Amino acid sequence: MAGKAQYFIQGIGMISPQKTFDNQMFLEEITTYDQNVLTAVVPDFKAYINPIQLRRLSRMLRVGLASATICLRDAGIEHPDGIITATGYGFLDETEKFLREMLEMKEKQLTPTHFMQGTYNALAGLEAVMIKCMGYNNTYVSKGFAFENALQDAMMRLDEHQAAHYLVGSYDEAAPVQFIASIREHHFKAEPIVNLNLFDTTTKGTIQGEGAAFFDLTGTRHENTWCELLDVAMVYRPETKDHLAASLADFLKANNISLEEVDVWLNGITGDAVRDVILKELEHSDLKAIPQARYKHLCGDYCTVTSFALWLGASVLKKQSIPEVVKASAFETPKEIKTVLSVSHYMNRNYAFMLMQRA
Amino acid sequence: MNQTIEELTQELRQELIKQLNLEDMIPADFDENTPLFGEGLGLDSIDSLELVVLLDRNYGIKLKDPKEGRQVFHSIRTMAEYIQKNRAQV
Repeated sequence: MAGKAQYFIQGIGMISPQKTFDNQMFLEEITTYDQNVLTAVVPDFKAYINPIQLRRLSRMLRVGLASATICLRDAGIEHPDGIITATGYGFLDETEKFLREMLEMKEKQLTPTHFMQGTYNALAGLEAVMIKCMGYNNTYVSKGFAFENALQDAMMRLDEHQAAHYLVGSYDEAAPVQFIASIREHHFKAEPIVNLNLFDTTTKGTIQGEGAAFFDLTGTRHENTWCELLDVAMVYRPETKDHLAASLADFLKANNISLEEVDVWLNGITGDAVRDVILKELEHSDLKAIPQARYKHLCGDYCTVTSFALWLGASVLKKQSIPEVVKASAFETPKEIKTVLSVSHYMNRNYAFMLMQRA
Repeated sequence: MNQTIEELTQELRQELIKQLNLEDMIPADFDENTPLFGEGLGLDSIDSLELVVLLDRNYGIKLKDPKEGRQVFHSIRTMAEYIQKNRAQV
């Protein structure tokens, strides 16, 4: 838990395998996939990035920079006080090109672009250059906890300076090389499925996703605030459901929230019959009575996928609606949605809680 | 390799578009005398590094003096002339 300060989300830019880049829409057009790889639905990049800069940027850098621009425009901020990004695997596609070139050229005559764009902090650096942000700039690469680490960093910095604005972002791409490697360790399903049927499957593995998200996090409430982010917590490899449930109880208690006060919870299950066991047990016991929404059938699974959950929770709170496509079962949307809880896992290893409240 | 200046400039135009990701451009879009930097194609310092690598990789020419690059990379024409001259010396 960070300090006693408050944290508000003032702007969002989310590019995901669904059409989420348009903040006026809320999952009204759903894209379906049938090959276990969900790739970003992208806007016209020229609307967000200078065409001269655009030509050299890799696909994922374009996605990242565009989502940062969407966020800043949404927040009405030109110069944030700092930029904090998170990624599990970085720009794998560019890294692969660079490594392949090293092999082909026998480590000689390497072009600089693939190297520059293959580094983990390329997005945070380029965004800083693009908007001339000379402030704090950091990138977390802690796999399934990277996004939570970035959020906590921003929250701790806001504890010291409430009026500041931090551009907190995440990105991970659905790279083919990772897909092939992940099939071997059964992270992704071997048999093709339709993404919307993800939660009906009974096999091991999930589907690959990708996305870039940026949030303008600040310590003061503004007119167009999306929601208040109450807290973020992480649990590494809980041994049992009871272990996870106890951690969740501690988390809620620390924020003076009871389970009864949670209007909807975002379930981060992945459709993996083996790795979902602990979260499913929690779903059928402690969280059974709370309306539930799911999202990984829409965006797939990747290290920083909890940024999609944060976008979903913030959208539910701001728009006061829950799209049918995310409802785990039929339930009537509460008249007022005040509190949203996110409980997720990555590879049954990195469990995270996020608590959001209507601002 | 006996390439004429015209053949070389045409080849360089194609290579530049490919190597520097000059999207939405075709070889006919720029003249062999169009300045590559500044008000011409608007290339930048990273592009100049890419051009150094291109000279080495495609034509076996190592640009040893960075000051020389200013003249060599002025336009497609100056690049082609430099390549032809230095290839002949090998």
